[in-house]
Parts: sequence; structure tokens; C-alpha cells
Amino acid sequence: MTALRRRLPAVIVSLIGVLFLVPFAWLVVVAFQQHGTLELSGGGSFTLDHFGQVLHGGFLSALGNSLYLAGGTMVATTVIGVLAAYPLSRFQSRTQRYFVYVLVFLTGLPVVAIIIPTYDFFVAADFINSKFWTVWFMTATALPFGTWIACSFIDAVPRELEEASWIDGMSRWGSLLRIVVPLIVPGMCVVAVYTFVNAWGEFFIPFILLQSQNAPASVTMFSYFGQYNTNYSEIAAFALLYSLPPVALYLIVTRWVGQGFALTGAIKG
Amino acid sequence: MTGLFAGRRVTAITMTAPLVVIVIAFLGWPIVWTLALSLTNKAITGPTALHSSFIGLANYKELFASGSGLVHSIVLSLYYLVASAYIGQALFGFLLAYLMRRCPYPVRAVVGSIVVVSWLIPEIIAAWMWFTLLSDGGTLQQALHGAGVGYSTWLISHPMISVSLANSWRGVAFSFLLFSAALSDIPTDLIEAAQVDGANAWRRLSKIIVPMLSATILVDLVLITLGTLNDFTLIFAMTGGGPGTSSTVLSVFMYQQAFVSFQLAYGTAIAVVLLAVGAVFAVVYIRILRRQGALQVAR
Amino acid sequence: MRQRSLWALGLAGVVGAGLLAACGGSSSSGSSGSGTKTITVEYWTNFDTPGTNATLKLINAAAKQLEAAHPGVKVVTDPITSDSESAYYTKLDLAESSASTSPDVVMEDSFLIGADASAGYIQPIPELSSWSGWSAFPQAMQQISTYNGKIYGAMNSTDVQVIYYDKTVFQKAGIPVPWQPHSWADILAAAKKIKQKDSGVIPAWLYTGTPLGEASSFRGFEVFLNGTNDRIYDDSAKKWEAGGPGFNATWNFLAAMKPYEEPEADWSNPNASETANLTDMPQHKLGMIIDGSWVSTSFVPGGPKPWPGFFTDYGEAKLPTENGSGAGYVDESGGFAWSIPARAPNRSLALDMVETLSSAANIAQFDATDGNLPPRTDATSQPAWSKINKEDPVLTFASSLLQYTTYRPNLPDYTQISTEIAALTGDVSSGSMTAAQAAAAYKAKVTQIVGASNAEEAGS
Repeated sequence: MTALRRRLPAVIVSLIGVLFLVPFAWLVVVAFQQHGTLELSGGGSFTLDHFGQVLHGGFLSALGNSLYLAGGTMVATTVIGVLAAYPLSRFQSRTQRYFVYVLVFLTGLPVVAIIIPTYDFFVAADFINSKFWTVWFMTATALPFGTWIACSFIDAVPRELEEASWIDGMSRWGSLLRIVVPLIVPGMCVVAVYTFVNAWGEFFIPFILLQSQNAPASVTMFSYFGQYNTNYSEIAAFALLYSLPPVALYLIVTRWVGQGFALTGAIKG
Repeated sequence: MTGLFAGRRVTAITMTAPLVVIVIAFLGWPIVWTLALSLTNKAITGPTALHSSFIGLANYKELFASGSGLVHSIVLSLYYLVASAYIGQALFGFLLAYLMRRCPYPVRAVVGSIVVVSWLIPEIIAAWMWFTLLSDGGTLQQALHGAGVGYSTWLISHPMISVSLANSWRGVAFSFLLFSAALSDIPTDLIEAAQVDGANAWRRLSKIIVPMLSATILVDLVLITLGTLNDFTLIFAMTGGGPGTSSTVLSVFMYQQAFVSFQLAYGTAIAVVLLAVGAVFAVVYIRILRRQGALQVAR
Repeated sequence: MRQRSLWALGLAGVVGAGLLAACGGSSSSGSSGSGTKTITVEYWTNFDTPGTNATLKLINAAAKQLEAAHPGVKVVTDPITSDSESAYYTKLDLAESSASTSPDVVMEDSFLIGADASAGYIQPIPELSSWSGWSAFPQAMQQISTYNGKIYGAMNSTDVQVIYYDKTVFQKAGIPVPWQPHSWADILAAAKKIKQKDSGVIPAWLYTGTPLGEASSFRGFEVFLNGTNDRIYDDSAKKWEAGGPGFNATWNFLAAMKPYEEPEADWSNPNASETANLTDMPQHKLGMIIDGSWVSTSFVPGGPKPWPGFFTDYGEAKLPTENGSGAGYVDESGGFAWSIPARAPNRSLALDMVETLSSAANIAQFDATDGNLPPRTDATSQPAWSKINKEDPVLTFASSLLQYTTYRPNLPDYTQISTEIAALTGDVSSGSMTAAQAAAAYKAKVTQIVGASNAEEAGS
């Protein structure tokens, strides 16, 4: 009885794990079917053709665009966010308080609502159809949330650790780079991965601000949907290929950080 | 000037400058323009696309009149928040983190990875995966059919539950990771001492663990609240807001009015309402966090 | 630890600097080198059956012809891929709204021509009326792209609605095939018979309800209304019809069909048409379905779901008017047109391009590939068309229905009214409204949308 009780958490958790795999079923089955449909069965024989068709259908250039947009947004957001989060965490004043309020308020901004004036602005500034400037816009939308998360991580680093170095004459920049940043690397990874994953899946912003040659995979994906017919097997194959980079990034980051993404040093308060 | 940046004002400004410049440059004017737009009758096409006029608060009056669908959408958004975020991610994430600690390493590694991978899948793909799972003729129906059980298409009969399940599946990893880290920071001897004192699992949980984690819990709630209120793609791709308007949360309502019915200004007014709802939650949470002393915000 | 973090920041700095250096404020393609004039054609990639790239091929073929006729001119394509048609329009309208982003030729859905014209996005093309090819377009196809008396585009594709019926199911129910109803009563009678004989079959699959959107208004309501004496819009009086005997008859007919329709769960799914075409039809679960003329394109060899049985097991029938009066049959068509944006940089070249795109040969090839009907009567005698037709005889039948066709009012308010119609068909099908209630609700909503001075009671 006690043995079962001890095993119970593992049983429950394993069951949860299995259930979590269920939604993948359609994706991994239909991608390999000749004529896949919304149903699992009746899709025809096994084939790898669809992967070939997807890869030859401009997937690689779309992938490149996606990497540029998501990667650029990730780097810019992480760097600028951490940088700004430091004084927000350490600097105490009335302005700082309102600043945090505005930041949190901005995280609630529905980007879809502001895309039209952004388009007008981009046209006027000749930023339209530029991946470079689109990255900066996406960064602007990702910064509030990213800064806020980074702020929470920096809050968890005790000030005492820095105070000693300040007495010794180190600058704020120094203590940021040498003391704080090393301790919040997992936190920075959270911001980086979170930003990347969101930017990777972003459709509407690149759809409106970019033209086809600069379109990321999140937009080109829809070329497999016709007005009246849909090529499901190709969509499934595309979806599998398209989902790999975020997963790969996560694996790379956690290996690099070496902590299995355990978010140590995380928000404690 | 107080605090640890005394005399370092220039440094503080320099460090926050990039953030301020970028946000104001790219978001400032669009936000102002959006607020102004909600006071006009501009549409994406049609005569009012060419000649829009200032109509004051008419859009808002129409929105807050009965039968506009606004209240219905707000209710659905709150449902979505409670079900898919608070219960499905925060509570479930906490339970998962708590149970994981009593699991052997292989289980933790494998299930942990599966849960995180679900989080990394792009949102539209997750939406399709769940659509094909729960739709008419989909995976779940076929599986139940094989077992001889009937299936009323959940996507149609219970759309809010369906999208909540999907969003929980997708988002729980974040809360799970947050709580995993926080739980591992609790000194084990504290818990052991309580165990020795005769406290059972429930008392240990409620009297020691949860209070120690209160700050983490609150921060988690703030983060997932704002993310969930704005969530659009998942629901729109799974149900389109339907059947009828039974899953038309605020974000979907806004998109439909602005970009499907082409009533841009009206849709923008809905966006302002959405922003206001988010602001209310944000203010409430910040207040609570400040009182908890958990937030490094000046008093 | 320290080194790693410094390295990380350094890396970030390098990447950031790299981004700055790569500063490419590249805007959309305008004019290229010296002396070359370029024109841009914007189109919607999702229009085509996936994998065919029919629109691109059409534009390329026409581009070759144009470039040969105008040396030094280059045609550039601007494809738009989107998750929905409305997203395409948003992007299109945005591009048309400023001179620096405006293309020269665009592909417009005919029912939005009125809205886009009154928004100042597209410009009139009066030259088309004196173009040699214009007379090959039947009057309906000329009118469909006309707004306020001015021509705003040339149709490149159209469609009709067809009653597809399952011969096996009909024979089992004792209805002789080939079947052709001559009135709405005939349709009802057939549905009734099927229900009596075979309860496992859906006697009639109708497009209804908001989830199916425009399709519900179009082939779930308007194809019936236009078979009465009423219309949605009275062209001569320039008013929207808010109600009348034809409206009432239509609502009554839809209410009468309720017991023979597909269940609400079926039509509540925005992908219902896929399920109906690709699953229900091959499994002989439907008696009849009113759908568009493109349905056969899924089933031809090489299509998304090849099924030769479609061409043997299924028959096609025309849509009757209410009582068989008038021409006896009715239909409704949509389709896309080539238009010229108001701010197009090169209008005269754009005009030439539109005319080249709309040649009989080009249209025949384009529509044959996509399974649409050509809007020109002389296109069906082109070799490209006959080749496809061998595989798909249904398209020949469908093009014979063009003689009966009507089209939607291409006025800006139509979109909102159409949303209302779709919702009301759903209310009638789900039983939450009676026919009379639907008629009253329609009257109230139309009056609200267009204003009382623009609405009238039909027959007045």
C-alpha cells in the first residue's frame, strides 16, 4: 500500500505525459499519408513525398526569413529588455513606479489593433517591406513583456552582492555585466526563448508589413490552403518542419546554460 | 533621488533609453492614432474608408448598448481566463511541479520535455492539432468510435471547454517551470521538520509551501492573465469564434468587427475595451504584489 | 560564468551591429534600371487549387505577351498568401490606399468592387466598353463588375450553383433519374421521399448559418430569392428591398426544408463544405447538395481527392425558380475580376495588361486549371478548355447555367447585409426563429443598416 502510494505521483505524471502526446497524433500520421484529410484514417499509403514538395516549395527561403525575424526580435528584446530592467529593478523613485505601470499596461496591448496605423507609418517612413524594420516593430511589441520578466529575475538577485562591488569602486555597468547577468542567465533564456517562440508564430505583423519575398514561414504556410480545396498532408508536413526550429533552439539554449531550464534564481520576491 | 541608483541618474537613463526610444517610436503614435480612430466611423472599405468623420463616443455607445455582443464577449474572455489560465495553467502547473518532485528522474525528464515541447509548438499549429483532435470526424471521435462510444463534437457542443483545453495544453509549461524552480528553492529541512511534527501533505502544502510561494504565484498570475486576455490565434483557428458566437472572446470579437466585417473604427473601440480590461487586472495585481512587498516598486 | 556572460553580451552586440549594418530599408519593387518600366500585378495565391499556381501561370503568360508588344516593359508579380479572404482584402486595400505601394493591376472579388470603388481604391475603366473582347462577355458578366454605371474591372472567372444529387439514393427512394426539379415544391417532395425511404441519409445538404459565412447567403438564400420576383436590391428604384412576398416564400421554403437538412452540428463547422464534399458525398450519405460548380475539381484524377465515382454516381440538376415561372431556372454567380487601382502608377500599361489577361485563350487556360467557369462565351471553344473538359464534363453542364445567372449587389452595404442573411438562415435551420420571425428580423436589420430612406417593401 505504501509502495503504491509512493509510486502514485509517477503514475499520475506519466499518464499526464501520455495524454499530452495525443494531440500530436494527427500531425505525425497525416504528414506521411498520400492523400491526408482531417481524419486519421483513409489517407492512403505511406509516403515522404510531401516533405519533398514542401522543401522544394520555397520553404527554405521562408525559413530564412523566419529565422531573421524571430532571431532578430529575440536578440534585440533580450538585450534591450535586460538592460532596461536593471534600473527598473534597482532604481527607486516615483517615475520608476509609473514606468512599471506603463510597462505592464503595454503588455496588454492587442497588436492586431495597431497594425493599420503602423502600416501607414511604415509606408510614410519607407520602412515597408523591410525585414530589418519589421524586426524593430516586433521588438517594440515584445519588449514590455520581456522587460517585465527580466525585471522579476533581477529582483531576485540580492543587492548585497552588488553593494560590495560598488564600494570597491565598480560602476553600475560593471556590476550589471559581471555580477547580475551571470546570475540571471536562465532568466535571460526564458525571455529569449519566449520571445523567439512568439515571434516565430507571428502571422499578422509580417503579413501586413512584408511582401512575399520577405514572408516568413508563418505566412507561407497558408499557401497550402486553396479557396475550395486544402492539401492536408502537405500542411502536416509543413507544420512538422516548421515546428522544429523552436524546439531546436530550446534544446540548444538549455544545453548551453547547462541547467535543463530549471529557472533557478527565479522569482521569489 | 533615492535607492541604489543615487547619483547614477545618467546611468539609469542611459540603460532605459533604448527601451523608451523603441517603444515610443514604434508604438507611441500607433496607440494614439488607434484611440483617435475609435472615435470615428472609418472602415477598411466603402465610402467611410475615403471620408471618415468624427463621431465622438458613438462606437462606444453602440458597444455598451444591449445586444452588441460586448458583454457576452467579456464574459467569455473571463471564462477563458479562469478555465485555461488560472485552472489549466497556474493550478495545473503547480500540481504538476509538485508531483514531479516525487518522481524518479527519467519520468521527470521525459514528461517535462513533452510538456515543454507543447509550449514550443507555434500557436497556429497547436490550434490545428487540437482542431483535428476534437472536430467532427477527428481523432477523438474515431478513437471513441472504435471503443463503441458516441461522440458529440466537442468543438461544436462545448467550444469554450475545447479551446480552454487546448490553451492549457499549450501554456502549462510556463507556469510549470516557474513553480518547479520556486519549489526547489524551498529548504527541504523546513518541510521535513513539519513532517516530523506530524503535519500531513495537505497541511504542509497549505501552511508552508503555498505561503512561501505566494509571490511566485502572483507574478505567474499577472503574466498569464495579460497573455491569455489577448490570445487570439488559437481560438480563431479552432472555432472561428463559433458556433455562432459561443466562443467569441473579446480578441476574436475585435478581429471580426475590424477585419472581417471591415468596420475598422468599431473594432478599434473593442480593442480599447480589451486594453481597459487588461489594465484593470494589471492594476489589481500590482497593488497586491506591492502590498506583499514582493515587487521592488517604490512606495 | 563571467566569461560566458560577457561573451553572450558581446555576441549580442555583434549581431546587433550586424543588423544595423545590414540596414536595408528596401521598399517594394518600383522602377528598376534605366529605361525599364515595370508594372505590378497583385493577386491572391489562395484563389487557386493548391499546387496548380494557375493565377501565376496566367499572369506570366499574359506578361510574355505584353512584354512582346511593349519592349522595355517588365511585369512584376506581387503574390499575397493569407489565412482568409478578408485578410487578403485588408492587405489589398492597404496597398491600394497609397501611391507608393499601389500596384498597377489587382484581382478583386466582384462583390467587393462597389465597396472598393466608393472607397476610392479602384478606378473606372471606360475603355473596356470599346475593347474588342468586351462583347464576348454576356451582359451579366459585364454588369457584375460595374458600379454606378461605370466599369471597374473585367471578370476572369465565375461560377454557378448546382444541385448535385446521388443517383443511388434517389433510385432507392423511388425518384426517377435523371432528375430535374421544376419548382421548389419538387425539391421538397424529393427530400421528403428520401427521408421516408432511408433515414440514415441526409436528404438535402444546404449551406446555412453564420459559420459558413457568405456561402450561406449566396447558395443558401439568394439562389432561391432570385427565383421569385423579389431581389435584395432594386436596381431601378435604387433601394434595398426589406421584405415582400418573395422573401416570405424563401423563408418559408427554408423553414420547410429544416427536417430534411443536415444537423446543426454539421453546418456549425466552418469546414463543413470539406466534410460534405470529401467525406459525405463519397460515402453516399447525402441525397442532394446545393454547391458550387467547382466541386468536381476535387474529384478529377490529379485533384486533391480523386474519386471517379463522382462522375458516375452523381447527377447534376439546375436550380428551379419558385414555381417554374420566367425562364424556369435561376442561378447566382460570383467570381473575380482584374481591376486597376486608383493610384496605379502606369495606367495605360495597366489597361493593356488587363486586356491581355482577359483574352479568350488566357481565360480558358486559367479557368480550366482552377475549375472555374469562364466569363467569356468564346472561351469554352478554346483548345485549353476542351482538354480539361474531357476529364470533367460537369463543368460543361455548369457553363450552360450561366444563361440563367444573377449576381450579388456590388454595393458597400452588401457585406453587412450578407452577414445578417447568413445569421438568419442559421436561426431558421436551428429552429430558433420561424420564417415569419426571420422575415421581420431581416426587415428591421436592413432598415437599420442602410437607413429607412434607402429601404423599401418589395412590390411597391
